[in-house]
Amino acid sequence: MLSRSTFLRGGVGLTALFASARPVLADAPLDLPVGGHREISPGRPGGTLRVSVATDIGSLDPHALSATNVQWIGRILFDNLVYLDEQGIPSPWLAKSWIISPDGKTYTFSLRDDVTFSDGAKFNAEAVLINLEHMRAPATKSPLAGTYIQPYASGRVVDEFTFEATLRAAYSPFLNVLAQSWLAMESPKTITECPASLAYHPVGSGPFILESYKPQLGMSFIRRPDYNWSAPVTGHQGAAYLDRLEFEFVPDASVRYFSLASGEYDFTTDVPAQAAAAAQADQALTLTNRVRMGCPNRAIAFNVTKPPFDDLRVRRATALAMDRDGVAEIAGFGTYRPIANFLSETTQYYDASAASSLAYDPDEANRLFDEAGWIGRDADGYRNRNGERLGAKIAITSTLSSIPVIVEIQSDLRRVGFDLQLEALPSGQLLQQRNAGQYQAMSGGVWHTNTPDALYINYHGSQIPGWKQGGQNTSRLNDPQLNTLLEQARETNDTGALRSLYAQAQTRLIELVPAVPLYDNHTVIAYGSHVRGVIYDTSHETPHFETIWLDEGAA
Amino acid sequence: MSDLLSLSRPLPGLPKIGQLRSHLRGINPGLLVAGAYLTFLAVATIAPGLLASADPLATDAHHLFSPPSANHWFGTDENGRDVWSRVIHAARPSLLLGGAAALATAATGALLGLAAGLSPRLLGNVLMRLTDMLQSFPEILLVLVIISFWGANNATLLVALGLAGVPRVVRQVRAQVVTLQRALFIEAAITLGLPRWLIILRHVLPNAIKPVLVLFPLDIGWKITAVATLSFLGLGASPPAPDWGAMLAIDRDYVLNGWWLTAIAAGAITGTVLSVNALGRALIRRNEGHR
Amino acid sequence: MTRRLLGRLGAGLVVLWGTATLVFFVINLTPGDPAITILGGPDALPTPAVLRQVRAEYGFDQPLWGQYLHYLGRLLHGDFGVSYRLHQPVLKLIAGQFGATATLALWAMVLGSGLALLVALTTAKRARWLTELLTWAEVVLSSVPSFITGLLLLLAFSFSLHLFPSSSTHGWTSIILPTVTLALPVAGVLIQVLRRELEEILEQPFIITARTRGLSETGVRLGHALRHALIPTLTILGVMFTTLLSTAVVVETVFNRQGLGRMMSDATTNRDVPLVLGIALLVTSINILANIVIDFIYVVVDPRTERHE
Repeated sequence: MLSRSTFLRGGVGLTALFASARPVLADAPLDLPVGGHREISPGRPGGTLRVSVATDIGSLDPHALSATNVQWIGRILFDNLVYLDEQGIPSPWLAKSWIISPDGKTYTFSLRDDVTFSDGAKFNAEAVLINLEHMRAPATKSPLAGTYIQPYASGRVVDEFTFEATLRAAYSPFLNVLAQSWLAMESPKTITECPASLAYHPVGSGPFILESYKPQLGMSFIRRPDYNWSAPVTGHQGAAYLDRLEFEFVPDASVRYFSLASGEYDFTTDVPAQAAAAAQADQALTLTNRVRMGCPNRAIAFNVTKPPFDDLRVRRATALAMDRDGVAEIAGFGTYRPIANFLSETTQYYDASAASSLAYDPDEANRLFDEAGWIGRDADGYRNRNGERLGAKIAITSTLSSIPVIVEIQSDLRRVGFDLQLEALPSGQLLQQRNAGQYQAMSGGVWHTNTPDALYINYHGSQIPGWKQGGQNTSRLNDPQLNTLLEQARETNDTGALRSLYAQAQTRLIELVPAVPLYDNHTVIAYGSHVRGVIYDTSHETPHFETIWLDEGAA
Repeated sequence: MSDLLSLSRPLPGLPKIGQLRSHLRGINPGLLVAGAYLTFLAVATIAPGLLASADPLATDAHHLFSPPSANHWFGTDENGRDVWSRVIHAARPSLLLGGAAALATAATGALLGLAAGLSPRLLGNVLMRLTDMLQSFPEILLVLVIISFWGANNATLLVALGLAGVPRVVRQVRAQVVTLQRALFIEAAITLGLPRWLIILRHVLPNAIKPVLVLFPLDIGWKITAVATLSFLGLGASPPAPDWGAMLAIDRDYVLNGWWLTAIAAGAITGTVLSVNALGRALIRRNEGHR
Repeated sequence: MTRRLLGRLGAGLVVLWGTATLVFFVINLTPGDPAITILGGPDALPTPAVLRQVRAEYGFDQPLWGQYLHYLGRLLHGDFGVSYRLHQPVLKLIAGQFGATATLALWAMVLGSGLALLVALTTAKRARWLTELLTWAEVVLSSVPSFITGLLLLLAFSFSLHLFPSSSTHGWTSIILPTVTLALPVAGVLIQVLRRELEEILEQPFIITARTRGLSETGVRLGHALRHALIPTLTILGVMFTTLLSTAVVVETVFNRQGLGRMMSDATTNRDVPLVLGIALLVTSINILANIVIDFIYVVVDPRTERHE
């Protein structure tokens, strides 16, 4: 610990940090890779990978969670029925092939016959049936998986390796959602015999097996030697290369970066944006920055049912008044890509044509506010109309990381005479407001899913949050035209129709401006240069761990 | 922490410079500095515009984390705002809230202590058990629970911080009242036929609250620390209002981008607490006579 | 004596019950939807059936008084419930974290009192300039907020100099900085008190006698003065233990350590009601017990002490 090299490194570090009064590093250039979903060449077996992760989610049962961590934990322990290919089309995994009936309501899956779970249970049609039932059973209390398969009506075991799923209505996202980690295949034996144990003793068919799980501290996994059914798209054969994975929970962003840089860890899944430039400048580290599919980060979701945002001109003007590039810079230190559309670019059926009409334009914003009648100015410089000031209250949670963003937005709006008041509420009151619709605007909001059905989830009239049901449509938008487009898109499997419907939906959203998209949903990870073979999940853009191997020569 | 000092002997005063000029009676250099700093803070509280011309809320997305320069004496922060101005403007909420909370503690504690000491036995016991309940709950946790569930606005902050020190004051005052009731001069007043309420007002009250007044300045120091700690934990004032604790909490994540921000916020809080404590101790010493 | 002890314990139980009731109602009377919290917060997308299921299972559809009585009933059976967010029994979670906080607090007390004893013993009644310097140090140590010392130590020794690991799980090296942070205010207060005590003691007749008998200065201090200095040290440490638990919350947050403090902080932010109640009850119990112990030490060690209670 107190070796000469430590002192040397420490001395250099101290000097660098304190000697100059300039900011130490400039921003990271935006370098978003494409590809990276396929293993290029085989690796060497052996070794332990030490990973730092931001938070513990408190359970390891993907069916019962909606947390982000599941995206990569899922791939460590479990496999799914299907896997998206590099173009985003569902392709075989545990299901070798499938037939969809012409009316889109029946899916017949042909399953692999060589897959077993780590407790010995066999993977077959019966297992799929049990899994789907588990996802939607109220007792499982699924906050995501169950909802994603809501149109699933019943399942039938045709023969040992053929499963038939019948839906209530045609549902085009069905195969896509089945590729997501939350809908992984768990051992039917454990589901049937002891479902409560799934949270701490999860049993899957994946390339690793859980060795130990200490809540709030960490978890460790060991290789499953007989694993041999990676998704064909990844190009990986056989078992994982690493012997062990060791995960530790490190909530502090700076500590995650510093401990990676000092070699205490080999890999971190949550690099703070402000450290990205430092990580890139460090020769001993590799940084990757990828964009997730789904709806991008929104600055604000307007409550379109309440003033002042019930007026379309006010919504539009507010959106145009935000300096998207500046905010993306503040939030991302150069790692976040600004976007002015309601779907991220990498999502299927993304349509770029309508995006630019939401670009930063303060002059147009001012003109629209004038047109909406907010011509007067009060003593503080804010616009008013009939003695009433133009403004809104926005509730923010007390997490400190999002504050600079909303402060900048408030500042942008002040320049055009709009008074955005920030209200830090405890989460209980925030939820209350959200359910009751007693807010003018909600801050933040991002939805990741691997299908453009994300628009349905975020903007369809049936998805408004309330006491009786959860929902992500915090804009409380209920536009018949948009509703119809999104419903029709759910009910067809024809690619031409889907492209057209989603393009219209995106255009309609740009017209309605229920929220202000700001920047993409990025996942930034970093690892030591001795870590090789990292590939990314086609659904989630999170790392796969079975292809990773350690190049000891480069350590 | 201030209640611990009530356990110990009279506090040592701060060191003096030798008798340079006899009529100055020996001025402590430290006290001078503390006094000057507090005067500066007083100006910052009353009229921040005199000390800082920049708008503490004006952001600039294209000049983030600028180092200290002629334009921005303390540089700019994560939103491009002028840090010097924010530090100055943050004085008011910290000092006012700290002072108000200390006052609330003293007043509430004194009232309850008087009530406990003067009431009939049953009521007095009930009050003391309630005090025990409050005291058994660690102060920070009490504040955490109140703020996390009721939100962080001036009212809840005042209640939460004010409640925290009440049991100590209640005990002190009650102990004084109980002792005083047996004191000779009270007996004398009763014998003289003075009405009870007059005795309480004229004799019991002033003597009972003396220990409270004596420790009051130190309690302000503790309250200011508590305000800063709360903000640091994310439970303080709403953004974008300037606040030392909140600045420290946010800037701690940006050590790689602007390390001086953390140092400045830490220095502001530490300097204030130190100065208040130093002056508080000097006042206490003066009150108890020199050693 | 025994009767007094039982009386104090009885009073303690009343206080505990009162605290549980108070906290229960304070936090349950605030608005919020615990069902969504259990399901993962605003990012959860449960179906109406799932929401109904959670509400029924946890009894949220019952009136508050009913829930309170159920809660008390379960408490009497030793069932503290299951954490909303971590989905594990509260007792198990607390037991897991308690060790970390207790270890930190104990080490801090040891370090703090050791440091204070050392400084006080060597410097009491020495040169004037030393006294002045130390008085300044005492003021600073007991005034600077713990989270600031912690933060500065972390930035300097961990991030910059890489002398100590920044993550909290590397065995004994990780505990050094948090212990120092927590020990400094302890030392600050103790040094003040101890030096006053020692300076008085060193003027006592029996010390002069010892010196005239030829005992060296060190012998005097260690042999005689130390013993008398221990009493105020112990009493202050007892009182400080509960304050230390409070400060541990902040120190654990700064250093990202496991412990009750961090857990409490996360639980209150996430409205994890069973966990908040569980920790509140536990810490209150410790406080009560500690107070009883301190009072008895007072009486046992110095029977002259008059108790105002």
